[in-house]
Amino acid sequence: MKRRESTTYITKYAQQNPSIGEYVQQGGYHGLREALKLSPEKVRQVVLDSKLRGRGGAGFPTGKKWASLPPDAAEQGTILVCNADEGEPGTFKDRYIMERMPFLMLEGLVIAAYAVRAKKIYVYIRGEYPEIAEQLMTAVQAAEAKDYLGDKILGTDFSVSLEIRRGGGSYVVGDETALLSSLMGKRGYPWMKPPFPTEKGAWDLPTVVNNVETISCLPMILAGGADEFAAIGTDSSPGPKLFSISGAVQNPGVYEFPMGVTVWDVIKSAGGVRGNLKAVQIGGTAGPVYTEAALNYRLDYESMKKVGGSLGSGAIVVMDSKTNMAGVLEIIMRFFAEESCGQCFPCRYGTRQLAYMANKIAAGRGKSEYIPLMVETTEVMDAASFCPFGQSVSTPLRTLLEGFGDEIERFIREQEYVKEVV
Amino acid sequence: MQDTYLGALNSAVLPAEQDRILTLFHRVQNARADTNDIPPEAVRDIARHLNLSVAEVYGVLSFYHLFSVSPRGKYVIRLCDSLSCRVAGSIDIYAHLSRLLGVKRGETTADGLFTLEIVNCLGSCDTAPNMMVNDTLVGNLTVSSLDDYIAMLRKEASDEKA
Amino acid sequence: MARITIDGKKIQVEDGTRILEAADKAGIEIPTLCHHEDLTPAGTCGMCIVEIEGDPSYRRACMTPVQDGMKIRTSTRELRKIRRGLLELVLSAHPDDCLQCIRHGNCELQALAERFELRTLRYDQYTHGLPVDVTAHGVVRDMNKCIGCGRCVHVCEELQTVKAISFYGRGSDTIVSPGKDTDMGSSVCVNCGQCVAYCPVGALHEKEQIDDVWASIENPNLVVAAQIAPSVRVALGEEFGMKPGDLVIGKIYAALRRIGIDIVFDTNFSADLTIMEEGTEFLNLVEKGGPFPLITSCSPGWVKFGETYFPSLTDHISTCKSPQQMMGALIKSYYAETRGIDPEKIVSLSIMPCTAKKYEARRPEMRSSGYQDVDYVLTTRELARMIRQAGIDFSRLTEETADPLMSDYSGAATIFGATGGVMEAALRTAYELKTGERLDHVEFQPVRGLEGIKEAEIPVGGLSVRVAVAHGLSNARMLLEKVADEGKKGNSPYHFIEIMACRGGCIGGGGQPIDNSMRRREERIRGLYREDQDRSVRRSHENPEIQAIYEAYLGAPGSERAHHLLHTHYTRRDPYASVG
Repeated sequence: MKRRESTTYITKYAQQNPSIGEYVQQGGYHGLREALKLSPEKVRQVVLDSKLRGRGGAGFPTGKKWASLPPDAAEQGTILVCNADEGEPGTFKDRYIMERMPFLMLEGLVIAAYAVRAKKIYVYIRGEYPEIAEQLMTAVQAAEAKDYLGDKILGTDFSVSLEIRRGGGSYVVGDETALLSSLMGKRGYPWMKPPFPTEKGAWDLPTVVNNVETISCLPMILAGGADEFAAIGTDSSPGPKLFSISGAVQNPGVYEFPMGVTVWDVIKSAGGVRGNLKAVQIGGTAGPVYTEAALNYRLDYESMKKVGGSLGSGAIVVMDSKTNMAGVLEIIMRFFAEESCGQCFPCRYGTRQLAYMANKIAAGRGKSEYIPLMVETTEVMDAASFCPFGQSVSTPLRTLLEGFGDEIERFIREQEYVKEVV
Repeated sequence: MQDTYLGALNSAVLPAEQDRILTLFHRVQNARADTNDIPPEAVRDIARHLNLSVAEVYGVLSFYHLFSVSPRGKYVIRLCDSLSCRVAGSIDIYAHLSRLLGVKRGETTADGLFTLEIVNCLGSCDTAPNMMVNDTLVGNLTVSSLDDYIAMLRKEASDEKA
Repeated sequence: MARITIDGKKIQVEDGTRILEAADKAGIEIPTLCHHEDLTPAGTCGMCIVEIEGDPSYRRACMTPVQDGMKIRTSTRELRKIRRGLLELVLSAHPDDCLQCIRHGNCELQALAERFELRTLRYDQYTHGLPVDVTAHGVVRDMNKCIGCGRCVHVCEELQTVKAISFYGRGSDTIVSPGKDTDMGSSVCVNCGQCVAYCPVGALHEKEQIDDVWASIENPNLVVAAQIAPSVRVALGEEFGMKPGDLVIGKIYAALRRIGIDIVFDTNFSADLTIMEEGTEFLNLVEKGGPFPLITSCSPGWVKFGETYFPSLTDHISTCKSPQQMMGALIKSYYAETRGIDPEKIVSLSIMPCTAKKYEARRPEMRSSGYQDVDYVLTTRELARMIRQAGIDFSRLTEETADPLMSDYSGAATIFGATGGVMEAALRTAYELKTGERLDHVEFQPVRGLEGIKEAEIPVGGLSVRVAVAHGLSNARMLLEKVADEGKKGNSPYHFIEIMACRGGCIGGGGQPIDNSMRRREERIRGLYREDQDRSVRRSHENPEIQAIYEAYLGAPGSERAHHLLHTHYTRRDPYASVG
């Protein structure tokens, strides 16, 4: 199988002021037309064959998720939810898609709805994206006007309506079940799986939750075929991926690459490092913080797992030599404490103590006992947290200590302080 | 206030109106342009409208950090201090903004114009350092762009009064 | 069936059994904190995680069903370390004042800390630093002690559907609250205290009045008269090492005198009185042909619930006061006059299984005697504390009898404490008064038992009386929604309804000894029905002291004096009314 190098399968549709006319001219909605020629089962098969993996962070195979719907899901009333809650720090690819190529996403949503036989689509968009929600609303109306959405799509019998729902500000509702709690108008607590949302989701109905970027891969899969998609990237992580790169690089932004590209290649595309590279965090705040050894790492799910990390959302944050790693520790631990939903004990109590100790360290009042105690705290959280949020704190902590433990310990010893702590 | 937020609500195709609650919170808060809050009367109206208890509505409201039960300023500034913005200099931005407005994080200026909040990632890390002012994202912040922007807001506020 | 191995032991359990229950069968007690056998597991605490062979993650025993062939280890070195670490985290957010805490010695967090030998806390400690909410009469809310287990929210929202409290805030700042602009006293809280019954720590507890009662007792100018509810007599023993359901009323009378109570009456007397008044009220309705249903009124938690959520049905609530309030009014009138005591010098005290009774006593209309009819209400737990404070060895007390005038009671009275008891007592009297016939069997099985809503049809004279009994306010809500719906169509599916706020009835009240689980409640109920069986008089109208009070003082049920002293009215309440 040939590994195709060319990028821009997705980003080629990016426009400053997206118009549906231009989108169609560029080849938009070809995928939907192809999909509607097939049966929903066949569309699901195509997506399964493409080996597309979810791009929200977990990397679960989309075809497999769809296949877990019960046989009578359509009769019950399947709901498709688009996870546009993009809250992972360092990640802005979904914003990019929604701002620059909303019709790609809308096309993908209709394809997905057709495939899983959903009658209703909810786009759950984080509360911090109000302008984007409005732009999306305009795009939805444009799509409806041209029969790409709504009643009897493109002259077929298939109808699906779409509603945009805004979040209220909470990172944890980016998690699938927490999102559904929020969608139902409750506090954003995750719930226990199994049962999985495809079996019992929002309002106990079969619910499919897919990330914006995942959805946006569907048009090309249906237009060009599963094999073409699977030929891009790596065997186990096929397809193109949008990498959000920010921090100490010359041209931060969203860059499209096939899965499996090296960290260095992405940084190069972004104009290279601004200053001297000190550290790289990959996958978001819950992702590993690496030294420059990471430059050679390949960005796909399996490769990242091999180096003790996870691809996550594909966010890359570059830190330069000015960056204080005790400050980084404080930012990360504070993030978890502020965003913990508070439902389970290990996380609600653990994240608070971690943030407290990290703050003390960064403020020059740390104690040497804090480091092993922080590690032990994340062990409790790894073992007993209710959901992946609490289980993910150990990764950045462990990698920070592995790569920058000396610096942090020096802080404690010399009672230096990060003058920048807010 | 009643009409503003309890006006036209599409009837849901699916069961349970409780799912409208976040929409209602946004509407109430946006309608209260001077204080950007959701006051107790509104909470009770929403509870009555959705057939939920007052405690339940507060329970949902208090979970989401974009909403406030207490009055805030006309302009709610949300300054990001996540990693990318920190690398881009959010600290200096915060220090300057704090000096400029005369408030610390979480506080509202005495003239009721500005509330300064520190938030986590706003999802625009390529334009770091970022802040949001109400619904508007303002990126690529520098000390001077901040000065300009705050001045512009002050002028807008006094023009409105006139 | 599933065959599993747990800590090396091979056992067989039903499919779908959760690991926690399976372990219990195998004699293994997996530590828990947020879990309660009466409540749906929420998985908040994480204490019960176990190791399952082949599973890379630990799983919560409370939520995970067994599968055939599962090999489980519940207590490894690693698991013990995790659990201790978890406890340490919880304790680091908990105040350090066990010695002053109301739950000292009966606290689930304390018990776990002891079990895991937590000798040091390595974390810096903090609490919310919030003022304690003492605004409700029955329930005190101390969020500094709240560990966030969520039992109270679950109980208030799902079991009681009062929804007075919910979680508030996010993350480690999360507390339980009636809302930002309100407190318990101004919320829809009905004071039922079921939250207290399930709270594992001292975050929710009764508002103690022990000191006030001591002060009254120690004041030589005051006469303290006490009444004891039916439910207390089968539960107080639990506080002294006896079994739930053990009838200890004789010892209670003795203990009260040892403490210094001047006059000991029994609420069961006024329970019989309630039957006379309410039975008459009901038969009058039958005579008039309606309007039905008549709904009992002795549960103050239910009454406030009804006033709040079913205002259209308040006219159907019996105007009879509860036995507590009837007795209180009579203590300061009938008793005072009969014995020639100045009612101003009388302190009327009641011993109740109930936290809502503290609220009921303070309702503005409860002053028919011209004074506050009931001055203080002590819960079963508070009485136990007083008994211990006085140095009394309860289990070794010699039984005594109560003081005459208002303490004789029938078996019908004593079963008031069980769900269906009021209904059964009322039917015994209503039947015999209406038909003039004597019942061969006074037991009405269809209204007994723990089913949430019980229905029965009983022929009383020419009328086929349709009755319903609901316990637990979620069941009350379901039943009354049906009644309200039918009412709109002009129908009334029932003639007579008994509602108790607490599951199981008053024996499960918020003031009862903790462990207040359904298992305990069942045992207490059995105790009451046993006492009923053993009593020579089993019908309210055959209670000689009841006959005496009508003859000497009240005249007849429903008389003007009876109305003045023994009947009340209700206030519709808006659950959304602004505060202050």
